Amino acid sequence: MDRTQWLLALHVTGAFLLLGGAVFASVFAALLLRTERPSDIAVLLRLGRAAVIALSAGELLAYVLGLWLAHHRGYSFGAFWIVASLVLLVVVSITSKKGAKRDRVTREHAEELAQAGDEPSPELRARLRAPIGLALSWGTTGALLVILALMIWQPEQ
Amino acid sequence: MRPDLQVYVHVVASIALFASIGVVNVVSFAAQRRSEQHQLARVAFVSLAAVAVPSWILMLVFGAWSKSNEGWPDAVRWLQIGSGVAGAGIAVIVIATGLAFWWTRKPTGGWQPVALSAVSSVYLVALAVAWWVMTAKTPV
Repeated sequence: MDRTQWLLALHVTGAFLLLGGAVFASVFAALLLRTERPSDIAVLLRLGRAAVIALSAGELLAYVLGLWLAHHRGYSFGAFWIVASLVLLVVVSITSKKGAKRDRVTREHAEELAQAGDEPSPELRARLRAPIGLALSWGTTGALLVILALMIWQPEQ
Repeated sequence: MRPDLQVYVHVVASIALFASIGVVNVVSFAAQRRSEQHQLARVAFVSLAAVAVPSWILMLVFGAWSKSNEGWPDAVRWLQIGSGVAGAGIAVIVIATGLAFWWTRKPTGGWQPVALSAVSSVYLVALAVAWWVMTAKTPV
């Protein structure tokens, strides 16, 4: 394998972890909408933290190796598809971190409710269905799908 | 359909398949040390039936369509590895979905989550090998 192949394979590994983490989180987010008991909600949110690890590792790999690959192949850093991808990656970084912080607060609340009788709570249900939480989750996935489209299509290339 | 759109759907479906098998892997390992068996079994079953199955179909169909459009010969090693892993996926998904369904019926923390964790771990590694050789276009 030459350097280009190594860089490309590692960059794509980062993309799999990044988008895979977002899909992973979306599966848990969809199941959370149909879950009522606080103890069950706490379990799902705790296991969903694996998505944050995948997203963070994927973000680092895709970003660093993507820049290295662009330099190695002689692409212009001013090309629309590269600039747009970098901007969207910053958006993903912000939305995923805000989403993870929001999930942590929700999990802590669910754990408190689980210890205090484990009865379904309208407040917890409302928090899980809040438009801001859903927008952060689906916004992250949507932005990543657009980045992948730009990487494959490479307009102006 | 544009060739790059075929590749796009193939890659998105591959990533969704990888993520859904990842979900099964995480919940089946967690089930070996947690008591919420019914909830975890439900997550594994839904992930396989609602995400892995449609993703696998899209990955295979758009991969084959793209290969046909590009005119790649069957003898290319990286294509053989990718096709082999994709083809084996149907057996893995059928077995894993059966195990997950059985687990939802008997959520007692028996051997089903152990078997699911083994099957999903092996297939995750196989998917990683497939995306590596198909990206680098090299026989490992």
